[in-house]
Amino acid sequence: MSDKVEITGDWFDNWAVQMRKGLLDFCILRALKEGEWYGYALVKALVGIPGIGVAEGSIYPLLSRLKKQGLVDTRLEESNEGPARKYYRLTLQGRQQAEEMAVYFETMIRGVETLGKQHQPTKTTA
Amino acid sequence: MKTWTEAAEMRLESYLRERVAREGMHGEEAAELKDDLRRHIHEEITKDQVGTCGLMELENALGRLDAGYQPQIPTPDVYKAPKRSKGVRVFLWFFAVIFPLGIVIFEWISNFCGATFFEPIPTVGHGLLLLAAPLCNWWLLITEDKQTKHPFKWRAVASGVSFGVGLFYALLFLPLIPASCFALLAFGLGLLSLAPIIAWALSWRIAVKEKRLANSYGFGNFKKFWWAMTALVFGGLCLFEAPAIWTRHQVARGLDSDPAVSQSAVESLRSWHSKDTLLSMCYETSMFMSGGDISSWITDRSWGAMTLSNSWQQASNIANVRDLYFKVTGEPFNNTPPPHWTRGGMLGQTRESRMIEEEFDFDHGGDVVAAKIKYLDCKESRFDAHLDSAARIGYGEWTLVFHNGATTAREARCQMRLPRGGQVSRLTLWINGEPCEAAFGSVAQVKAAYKEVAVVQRRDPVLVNMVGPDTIMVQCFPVPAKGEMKIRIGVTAPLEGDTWRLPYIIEKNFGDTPSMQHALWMQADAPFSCGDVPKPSHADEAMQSLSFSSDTMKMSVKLSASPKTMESVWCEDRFAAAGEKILIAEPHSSARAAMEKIIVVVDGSKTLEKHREWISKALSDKNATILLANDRATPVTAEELAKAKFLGGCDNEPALYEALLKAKESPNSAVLWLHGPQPVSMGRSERLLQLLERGGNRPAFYALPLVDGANRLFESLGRSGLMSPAPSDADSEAGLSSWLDLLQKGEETFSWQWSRRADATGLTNKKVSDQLARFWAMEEVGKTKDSKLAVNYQIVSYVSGAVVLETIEQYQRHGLTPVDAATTPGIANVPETSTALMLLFGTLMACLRRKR
Repeated sequence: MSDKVEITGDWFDNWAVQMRKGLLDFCILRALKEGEWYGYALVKALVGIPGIGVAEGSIYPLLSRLKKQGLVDTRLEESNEGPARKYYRLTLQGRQQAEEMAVYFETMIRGVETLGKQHQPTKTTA
Repeated sequence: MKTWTEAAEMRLESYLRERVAREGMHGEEAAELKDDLRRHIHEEITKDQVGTCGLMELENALGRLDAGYQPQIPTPDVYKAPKRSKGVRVFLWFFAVIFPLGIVIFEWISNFCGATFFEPIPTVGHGLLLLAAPLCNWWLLITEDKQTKHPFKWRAVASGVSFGVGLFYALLFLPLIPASCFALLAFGLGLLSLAPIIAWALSWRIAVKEKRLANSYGFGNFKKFWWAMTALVFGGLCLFEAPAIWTRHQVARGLDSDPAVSQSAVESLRSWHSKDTLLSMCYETSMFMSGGDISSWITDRSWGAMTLSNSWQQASNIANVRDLYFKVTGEPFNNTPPPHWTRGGMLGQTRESRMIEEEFDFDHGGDVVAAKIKYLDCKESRFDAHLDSAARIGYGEWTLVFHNGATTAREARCQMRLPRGGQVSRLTLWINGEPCEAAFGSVAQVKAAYKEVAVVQRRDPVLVNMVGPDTIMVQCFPVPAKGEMKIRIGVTAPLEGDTWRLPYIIEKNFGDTPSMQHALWMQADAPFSCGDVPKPSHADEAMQSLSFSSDTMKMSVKLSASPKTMESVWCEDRFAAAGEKILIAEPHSSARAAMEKIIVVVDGSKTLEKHREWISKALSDKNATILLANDRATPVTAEELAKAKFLGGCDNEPALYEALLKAKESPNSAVLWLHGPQPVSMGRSERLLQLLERGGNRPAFYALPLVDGANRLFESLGRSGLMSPAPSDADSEAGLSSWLDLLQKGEETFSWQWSRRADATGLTNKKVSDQLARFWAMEEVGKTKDSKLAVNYQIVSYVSGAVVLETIEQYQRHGLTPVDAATTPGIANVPETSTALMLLFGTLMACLRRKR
């Protein structure tokens, strides 16, 4: 019995990791689509998404990669409280990519939901 | 903003390095991630309530940041100090420890730098700090491999002391680098002056290594302790010099040609200054005779010494600096003993050596008393006086013996205040044990003779001149090296009512030997008392006499049973022409009108502060205008005067000018000037003399010196004869009050009315000594300024002086003739055998002879 649970847990974890990998990029672009974000606030908002299950420190490498890919841009603003604050926003390319991903994601969600509605139970033979 | 502990900062950096390595990032990408994470951590920490971010707070924040983070006890990256090579170690030991230690000990013993540039060890504290620097380096070096056994806190303190001391002295010796390098290259010398700079640089090197070691052991406060100690030592040394530097800076401003800048500097100095520095500057006549303290090196001698330029300017400013000293302190600079400079010391010479001993007397043969001279003292003082109650005249002889303990001959100079209305009538100098009487001549004649003989030939003269009302200047030279000089001054002066003030010294360039006391012999033809001396005079045959010793000459003799009214007297005048040999004095009374307006000018200088209360009380019920002379003319009430601030040495001329202007508005008015010393020619005396000499209303002008000391304005006004000294007893509340009452109400004054005849046949009134004839001459000379008359009667006046020279040739060269000793005045011996007694004795002897 216990072996079965463990196998089920591992399988779910793997699935969740795969799920989050793609989703996290989308979440970032989705958030920035609405406007400019302060990095710290963006990280806090992302880790607050239920089920996203990511450490705060892991988001910065992603943001760095997105910036390198030309999807986001940054600017620094001096702060009296400590180091200069870093703000993130979408580039034009990023915006297009975000819209494309949104359409893709919505279409996919709709498709997934449709699967449930199209279901016709088959009669089982005794 | 949060403060981070050094350990937390180090831990964060360590985490960031590890994190970017974990992410596999390099270069810009890694730097950006570090920045992002650092920013995030700072935001996290800022949200916490704790004031300081330490390792605990950081670990918590990192735990939230990194899901896979495993907090670790950071194992410090132990800093492996590179082993110094043997050469470097030897270099450090020699130049950071042994050499500076040796230099400090050498300087302390020899005063080599002090004698050449400036005094680097002015106090024991400086010496101990200088010793501490190499000793701290020694401790740091010797325990370098055993740091863990010695707390880093104390290592930081030691390093801070060494660096702070090194920094201070390196900055002081910085200007000497070019000269030292040149001397080192050219002659192989000059390393001494480079020692502080090298030691400081090596202290820095030691400190850097110590800091790395401390950090590697997690002692993040090393820097704080080190900075604190450096700041404490360096700041302390700077603060010690701050008053002197401030004073020197303000003195430089005070010498500015712009009066506004100069006045502002004087006011700043009055509020705060270093008196020692100010006094020292009064004696800094050249770069080789400066105080040599650190402040003078910093302010004007460091670069000046290199160029031989700036400091020479000081000599020409010395008179102005001395004036400034008075303006700031209110005291003549020579009232205070000269500064003790520890200069001129070399190996074998103790640090007690005084530069002043070797100083040349720049005022030799001049017209001012000027600076006090070391080792020149008055050794003995004797005063003999005789008061004649009938003639109302006193005659005193003051014998002074000067001793010079220095190795060069010195000139003794002093100003004396004579009894009111008195003048010098005899001057004697002992040459080779023989008393030599003075020659009297015009002022120009005697001054020229003195200057030639004393200054050029450096032989034996003594000169006496009148410089102000009742004030004479005495100069005698040479008081031989390790030898003595003896002079006698005879003074003739009228009595003030029943009193006679003794002469006293108001300014001098010599001191008194510890055992010096004035030996006084007073005699009179009536009972008298003397100052605070508890016993009155006693009968001594036909005279009354009193003998005592006193520390001061500032006292008066008071006749207690003198005749209440003046009676006619006569004397034989040996100086008069034939047919006028008998001088008769008849008492004459006259009324002096009441003064409608009285203006009292009170010197606002600090020296008069102690007198302000009684002056205020004496003036409180008087109808007098009071002006406070505080560089301006400030009208005050008696009550305001009691509370007024008396600061520095104030110029009295503006207030006197204002007072005289007011006084000239009324026909009968008087100006009374209560003043202290003013050895500075600040005021414009001609402006005042103009008011006194011109116009119909000429106010009576009285001066009352309340504090001893020379007053140049008093002297220049007094020479005009338009200013009179106030009564001697007006220097107290009761005396001033009663004198002002007399001025306001008017009074009856008595004087002599003079007549002459060929012989004394038929004269029944009392015969007195020929001092009466001298007094007549003093009155005549005062009116006529006839120098021939003054010379004939052997008196020192504004137009005549007295000088003793060594040889007849010297007298002849200047057209002078020494007086015949038989014509000089003297003190009659007591008991003095009267003529009647002699006749009685003669008759008795004749009778006895006849019986035989």
